[in-house]
Amino acid sequence: MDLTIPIGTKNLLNPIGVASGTFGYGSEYEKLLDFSCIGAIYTKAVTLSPRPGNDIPRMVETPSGMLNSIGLANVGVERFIAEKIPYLSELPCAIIPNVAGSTRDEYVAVLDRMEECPDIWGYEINISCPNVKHGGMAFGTDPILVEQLVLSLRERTRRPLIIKLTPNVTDIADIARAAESGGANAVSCINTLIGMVIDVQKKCTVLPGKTGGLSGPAIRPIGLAMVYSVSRAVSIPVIGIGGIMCGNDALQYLLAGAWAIQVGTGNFVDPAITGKVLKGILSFCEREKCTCIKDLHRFIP
Amino acid sequence: MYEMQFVMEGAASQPLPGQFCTIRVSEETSPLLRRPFAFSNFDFKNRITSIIYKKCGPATEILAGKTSGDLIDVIGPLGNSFVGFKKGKKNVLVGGGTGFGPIFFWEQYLNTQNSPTLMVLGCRSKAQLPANAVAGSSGSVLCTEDGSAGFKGTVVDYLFSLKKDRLDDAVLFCCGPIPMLKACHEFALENGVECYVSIEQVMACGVGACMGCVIKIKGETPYARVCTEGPVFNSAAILWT
Repeated sequence: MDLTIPIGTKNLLNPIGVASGTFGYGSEYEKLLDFSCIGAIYTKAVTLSPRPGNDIPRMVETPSGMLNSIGLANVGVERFIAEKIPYLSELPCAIIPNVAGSTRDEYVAVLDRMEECPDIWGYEINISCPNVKHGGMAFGTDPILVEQLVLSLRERTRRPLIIKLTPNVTDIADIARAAESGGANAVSCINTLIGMVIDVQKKCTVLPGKTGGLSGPAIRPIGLAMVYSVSRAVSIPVIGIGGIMCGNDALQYLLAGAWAIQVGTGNFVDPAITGKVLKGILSFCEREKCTCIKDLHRFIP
Repeated sequence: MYEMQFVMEGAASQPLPGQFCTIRVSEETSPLLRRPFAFSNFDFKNRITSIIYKKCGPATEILAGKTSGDLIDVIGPLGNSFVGFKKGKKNVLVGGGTGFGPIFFWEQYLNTQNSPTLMVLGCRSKAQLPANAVAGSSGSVLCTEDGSAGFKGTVVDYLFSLKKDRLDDAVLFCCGPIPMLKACHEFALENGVECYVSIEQVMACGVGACMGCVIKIKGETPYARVCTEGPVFNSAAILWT
């Protein structure tokens, strides 16, 4: 079976990715899994300057999920290139930095700097972080801003541009169309949903910023419905994310119209999960005599 | 209080005192995340290690229901340990609440090195002390807030009751609830002794990737990951609030 996934002018070796923010910069998981199961590593978000992240506590478990407010804590683009890229470039996976910023210029500056690194496969543009005051989701909820941002980035790179969409909008398909018009090669959806947990005894929210991003199996039906909708609104590949814990969960996304998937919170629960997800996809496709992932799209109109 | 023993098979490296593991308690999606537990001893010959925990939610409830022979999904050893830090002429090991585990393990380790220890264990009343602590080793002091066993008062009350000369060149190693650790830190500051604390924090990945388990520290970088830079910190490096 052909597992490669075409995105822009390149191919991912297989449809499995690890979602930004759940896999650090790769080395953290070194002893815990076989990297050859992973087609792409979407790194922890990278911003122009280092960010310490949000106040604590930063996370709380919820029914079949978790709420986080990390606040894009990261080492900044310079240290990312100097300290993280050398390790990442030795891995057999496509290295896709997740690029974040508060202004258009910041996104541009991070991308320009990364263009100098030969080992980067493509970019995932984070216009959907719910946990920062400026930028992030503010970009991702306005189709005009999305199109302008993608246009500016498109002018500067020939590498695949994947736009990561927020589910915290009225119609995610509108945003996906804007990304496609700007020249995106794929969209990944969904980022986390805004959620809240209150400690009744203390009579306050558990997270100091009050809300956080909800992830995990709890959001899977929402992610799936959004991938279904987006994949019918655009002709570029859709990468499905949200609560994938096994091959069957990933297959739901692929059957809904996704070309590839990302495992997020599942990496925390079982660091070797990606291998199991890949195995599950392969055995189903063999049974159904699919020759490529796209074959799965014919079942659900 | 529960103790779970398990065999570390194959290539797993031997745990050091202060290190922890994460356990996936079930295949279900709720509770979802792995839970961190500090090691409470290690039998080098049989490669048997253990954790001590309290039933305090659905995950520990499931864990307490496991029976002998069950397979459990454990990742570890993780984090730093007490071993890398400077030892004193006298090592005062302070444990409270669910913090007994790493303190027992550290005492066991220091005893093999013939390094002198004084172990101070505290909780609200005798019923909450683990059985092996009540049996007591000669170098240990029990403290109960209600006076039902040993010294009446908290572990910090006990530390303040010690004569100054017993603290000459002493180093404190502490594990327990944050207010206890903070009080130990303040005691150490007042008495001019070094103090190392093992911090408990909610974790998602346990391996340094998610940045979820951080605590506030002094210096240029405002946060440190408990799972990776810790769980053992010099108490003077922490920004206590």
